[in-house]
Amino acid sequence: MEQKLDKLKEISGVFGACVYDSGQRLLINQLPPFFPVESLASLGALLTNITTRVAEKIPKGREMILYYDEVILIIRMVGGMTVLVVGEPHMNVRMVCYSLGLLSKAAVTPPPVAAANVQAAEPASADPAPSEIAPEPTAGVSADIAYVEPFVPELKALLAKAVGPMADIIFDDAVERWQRQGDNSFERFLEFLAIEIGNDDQYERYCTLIATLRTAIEEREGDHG
Amino acid sequence: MASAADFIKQLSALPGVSGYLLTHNNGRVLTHNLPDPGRYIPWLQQMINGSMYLTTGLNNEELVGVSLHQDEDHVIHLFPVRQYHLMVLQMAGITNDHLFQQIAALIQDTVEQG
Repeated sequence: MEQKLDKLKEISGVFGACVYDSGQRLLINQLPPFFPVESLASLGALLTNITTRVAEKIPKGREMILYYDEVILIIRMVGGMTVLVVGEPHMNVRMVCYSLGLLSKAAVTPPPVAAANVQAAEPASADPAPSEIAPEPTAGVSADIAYVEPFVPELKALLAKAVGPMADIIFDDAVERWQRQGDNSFERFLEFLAIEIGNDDQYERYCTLIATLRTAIEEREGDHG
Repeated sequence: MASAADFIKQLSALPGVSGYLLTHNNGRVLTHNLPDPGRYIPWLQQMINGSMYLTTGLNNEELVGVSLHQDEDHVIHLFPVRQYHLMVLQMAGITNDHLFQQIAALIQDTVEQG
């Protein structure tokens, strides 16, 4: 979670983010030091109050964006916690909302099974409670999809060209989903990636960018078949 | 300040606006096109007051407005306009990513400076 929030700071205009638990306590603080911790801590109750008001009228609410003269606050509930993103007036709000959407989706995604069980045909365990946060993605890929490992840096770099700064998160989430099921083909990975990207134009652009690389990966996949 | 009728006429012409409610901050309705404005009045007051209060511990920033996004791409925009509160409903299906900024500019041009 902290790692993913840290990535938000790469988006234009974002100062940082913090997270409150359901008891209004400040769990994670990645805002610059000029935001006093005491003030941020006391913000928890106010945020709960206002998000409760929103939920009264908008049960399917997503983001709440508060525009002030010198700052923008974006609030989103993620797995029972409240995420607060703070940025400048020209912050890329759309990209922040998109990223928070991915974060929210990851929060209700079941955790990956152990690497040793990846090749088992058994389905993944039942979904955790919505309030649970999935563990951080694994740094690399597990043994059965290791044929892709040499290509990962280039795959990620090209994904960044297609979808922007959230590429790492999108890629890791797709790998997580890929690892949880039995089909270790690269084509299957691309299907999961398409879901994670959630934008046909960006996905097609990515497929164009990796066309040559894909051939090489699929050849290597065949060798390991 | 421009008349409420002039302001609403310009507001309604913005792409994506499907509903509006303009009240005095004491809850008295000035104008609206909603089937049940009473449903929103106390809520609108609480939301705007709560949002204004949110930054008191930080830098006591002045609230420009609030956008509440929903799953079906409906958006509710809330604005404090001097002693009034404005709520604007943005319908799904008409993409206008800049409606909030357009309303804020309209308020600035026709109300604050008009």
